[in-house]
Amino acid sequence: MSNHPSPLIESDDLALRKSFIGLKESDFLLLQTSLPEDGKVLEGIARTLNAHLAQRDETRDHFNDPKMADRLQQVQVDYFHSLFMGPHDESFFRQRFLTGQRHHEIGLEPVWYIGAFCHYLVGILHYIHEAHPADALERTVSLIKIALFDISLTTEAYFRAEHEQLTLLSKVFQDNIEGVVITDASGIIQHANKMSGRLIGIPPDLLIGVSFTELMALPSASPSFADLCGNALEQEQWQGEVELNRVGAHAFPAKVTIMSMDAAHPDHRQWVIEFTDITEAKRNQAELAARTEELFRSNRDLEQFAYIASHDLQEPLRMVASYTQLLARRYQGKLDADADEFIHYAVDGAERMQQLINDLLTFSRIGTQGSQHKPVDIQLILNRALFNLKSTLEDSQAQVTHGPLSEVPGDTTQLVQLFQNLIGNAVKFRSKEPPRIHIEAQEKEHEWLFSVQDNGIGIAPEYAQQVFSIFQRLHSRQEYPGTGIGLALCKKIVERHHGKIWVEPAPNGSGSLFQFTLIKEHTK
Amino acid sequence: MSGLMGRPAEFLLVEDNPGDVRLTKEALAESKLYNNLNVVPDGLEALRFLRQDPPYENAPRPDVILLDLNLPKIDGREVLATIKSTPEFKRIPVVVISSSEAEADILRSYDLHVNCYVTKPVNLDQFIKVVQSIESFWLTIVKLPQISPES
Repeated sequence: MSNHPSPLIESDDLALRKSFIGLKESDFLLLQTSLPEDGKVLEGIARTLNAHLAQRDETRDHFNDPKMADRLQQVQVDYFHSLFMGPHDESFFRQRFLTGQRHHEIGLEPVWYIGAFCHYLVGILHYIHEAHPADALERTVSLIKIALFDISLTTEAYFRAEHEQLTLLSKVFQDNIEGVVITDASGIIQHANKMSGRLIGIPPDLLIGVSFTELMALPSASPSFADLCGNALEQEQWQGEVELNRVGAHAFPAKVTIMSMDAAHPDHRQWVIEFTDITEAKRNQAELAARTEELFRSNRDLEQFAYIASHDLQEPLRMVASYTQLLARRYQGKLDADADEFIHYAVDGAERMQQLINDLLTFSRIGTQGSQHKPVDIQLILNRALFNLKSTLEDSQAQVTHGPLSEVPGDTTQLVQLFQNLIGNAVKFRSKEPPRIHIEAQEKEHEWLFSVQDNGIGIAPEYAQQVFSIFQRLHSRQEYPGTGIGLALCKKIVERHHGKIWVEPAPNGSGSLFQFTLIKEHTK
Repeated sequence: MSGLMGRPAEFLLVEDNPGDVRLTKEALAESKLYNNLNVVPDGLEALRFLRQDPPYENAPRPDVILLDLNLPKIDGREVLATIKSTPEFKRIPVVVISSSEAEADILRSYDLHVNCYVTKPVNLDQFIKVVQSIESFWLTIVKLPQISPES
């Protein structure tokens, strides 16, 4: 319903209306003395009217509820009482106008209002003729004047509100960002909004009288407008993609919605057709799909490349290392100390390179393998990781404790690697204290939050992101050996499991707190 | 030892990389076991050798086959499949000795009934140890059938 207050009736306008009907002060004076003060007459009329309304299907519900009936009766009585008693000043007439608006809001149509009004008039006229036989005619004339005046104001207000609402709806129709046309049952356009004209390329009023079929750029195989309307009837509406013609330009792909506005007779049915140009959306979609495919391919190529490169690099590397060592073996002592040192560096370099290549291989395999995610028990995963780290843990006198662990969907091999790398890392970067590592699992709404806390040397917050990059090292190889791939591998594994991993300083004292999430349900 | 009855242990090395061939030779040369290393450079030659096709009419029946996986002409996997599905050869121990650590290669080889799969270490000492371990395991520890299978 409209919330816009209608412009209230102007004083000049009011005076004019009064003069048309011939409503004068003398009428008001007569009216004020026509009804008894106690209101018994009006209550009597209200009772008979409401008893009558209680019989009708449309109003039965309201008047059979005693509380509601009492309230409605009181409202009616007060209304007619004020009609007679006034004061008949400007606010009185404004009030009449607001009543009409209110009727529109609650959906009380004028026919009902006028019917009820007539009922009261008849009752009141009977009373006047009995109570004031001497001047009954003058009083009746005054009553008719005020009644017509009242009815004209309230019904006018009603229709003005209705008009406003229609104007609003029409504006919504006209200014809709989608093209909207309304056709008759055969598809001839009756109404077309601004956007429909812009999309088709002609002023909207030129669309009126045109068949919607003519707007469709129909390849022979596509369904006709009638087919689409048939679909729209079967399921409340039809929505789909249709090529529409554009005057002086190429046809464009449109998203079209067809709705039926049913009428009593099928011939009078109307179709509301909404359409938008989806050229750009389609182009974006195609671009996105192409880019996704491209990205996917380049990722796959890269993984393939890393795998092949590292695999094929192994052979020549092994040759370098083996033959350097063979040299050392064969000519030990026959060369000088420099030669021995040179050989040492050559062998050491080759061994390090092999480690790098192996790590790179492992890293690239995370992408190419293990996409089968089945529920795995993290307790078993942890047990396997600890078993693999057995000697490392014993040598460092590490203690690993954990809270209750859960089951998550994942790849066993990769998750073992994840825990193994995180625990191994905690041991490797230990402080002077023997390593104490604690693992916890915390249940969240959609995921499990795992934490691995240690009492090691910790990671400065400024490096919290960097440590997860491939081949990123924070320390020299002399301090801590390794290729710097361990945490990058962890990150890749967690991400392959649709989770996140991060590190922060351990909450109490030194050490690091690694946290990562693993989703509960595998949605893919 | 007893099974060899004084003759040298016959190895068939299927390897296309001369560097690896030489290393294997070196490793076996340091062995205390009396052995003879036969070398073929690809899968096709390997099968010819086993079948004593020309020019291998006088080729000995190998006691152990050392097989690389990535070979020219006929791939190591195919050679393995052929050996293990040929009644006269299937009992010859085949050791795949490859630089590949890929799970897929390892699984595939065992599915084709390889007797064992080892990866080539970068370190020479380890390489020598691996070759000598293969030799001692298959030739002195393992009990193999004495009777030659019928063809």
